[in-house]
Amino acid sequence: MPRFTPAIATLGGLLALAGCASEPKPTAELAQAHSLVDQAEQGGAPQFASADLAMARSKLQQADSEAKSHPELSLRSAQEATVDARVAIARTNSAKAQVALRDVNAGTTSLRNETDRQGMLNDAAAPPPNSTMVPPATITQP
Amino acid sequence: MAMNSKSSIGVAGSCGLALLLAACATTSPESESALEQARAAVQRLEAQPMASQTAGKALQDARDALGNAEAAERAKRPPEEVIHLSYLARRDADIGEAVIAEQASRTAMAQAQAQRERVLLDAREREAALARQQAAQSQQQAALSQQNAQLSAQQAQEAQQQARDAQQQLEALQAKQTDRGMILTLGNVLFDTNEDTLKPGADEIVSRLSQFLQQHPEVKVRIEGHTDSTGTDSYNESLSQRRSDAVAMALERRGIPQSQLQSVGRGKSAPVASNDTSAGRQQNRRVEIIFSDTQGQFVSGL
Repeated sequence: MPRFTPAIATLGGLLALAGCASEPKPTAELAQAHSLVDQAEQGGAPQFASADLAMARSKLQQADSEAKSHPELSLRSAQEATVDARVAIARTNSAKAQVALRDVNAGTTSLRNETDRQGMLNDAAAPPPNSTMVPPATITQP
Repeated sequence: MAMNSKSSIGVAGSCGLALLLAACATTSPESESALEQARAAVQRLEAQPMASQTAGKALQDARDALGNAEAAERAKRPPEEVIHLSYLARRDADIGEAVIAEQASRTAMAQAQAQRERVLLDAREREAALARQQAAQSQQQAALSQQNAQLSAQQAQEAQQQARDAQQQLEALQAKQTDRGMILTLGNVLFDTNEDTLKPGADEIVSRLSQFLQQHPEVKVRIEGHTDSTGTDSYNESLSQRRSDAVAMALERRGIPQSQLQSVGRGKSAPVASNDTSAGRQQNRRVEIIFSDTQGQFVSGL
């Protein structure tokens, strides 16, 4: 009798699934999630938004694995994987812009330091044409 | 029994039986908390002044997703669904925050690049100013050294002219070139025998001498008194010193500064002729005026 129980359960499950013909595999959502995770991976998310990317990957894997068995859960996982991948992309873009800004500011600072040093060597007779000190540009958070 | 509950959950999950179950389920603390987090995230995003301009789409997505989550909560949908929809709302808000941060960096970037341009321009201007200044300086220096060269050439010419003039004038005074320099030897024109006061006839030579020394303040004279060997050494030295002093004083009275004059009594130590004859002794009784060159240097020391 116990040997038969899994078979019965499976049968029951199949019957139940068959009854769920109105709940198809979320193909479009899965495809979108795959596409966005790929996009995040190629766009630098492994470097700049690894936590968000990891979440997206794990949810995508879950969505794939239960696409047939639990289409409704798969749909949610795919939607969450999609939004996580979007967060990863947005944060990657933001981090890249920040790094670029920092690079420009660092370049300006070292250039100014060099100019000032040269200026100090030469200043005895030649005052700099425009010596107003300006702090480096920073992001002003509204 | 265990099997039964397992399979029934599976069926409920896949078939929307959950709808029936959820309809009578009360709201769970987990779903309430998720919804609360989503509301807070959307409010934070809305509070950003730039949100609607910069992250309009993300903001709209987040609001829509929050609306869905709240509708599900009101409809007493299963907690998992409310949690899921809340998560989507919260993450849409995260996207909005990231888009605003990116835009802020880009705005600051424009400013940073302008600043960099300004610093570069400053550096170039400073370099140019320095170059101009250095050019002006070297031009000035060149002009100055040319001037100096002209001046020293002129000075050299003047000094040569001065030396030639002095030489000519000394020759006119009948000074003679010797190995001790130009020397004017004055015999019995200055003093009577054994006297140390100048004769009236000495005036003319003293006057010409003083004229010369006034014209050539750079020339010094050493006045040496000499005697013949008659008399004691100390008498002769004393007499010769008094005589050279008398000449020096006569010159001083005519305005020649002491610094131009040296006076030495040499007695009979430096005869120019034999003291055995009266003619020789007469030659030895003399005052010698020894002239320095135009730099104030004598040919040999005192």
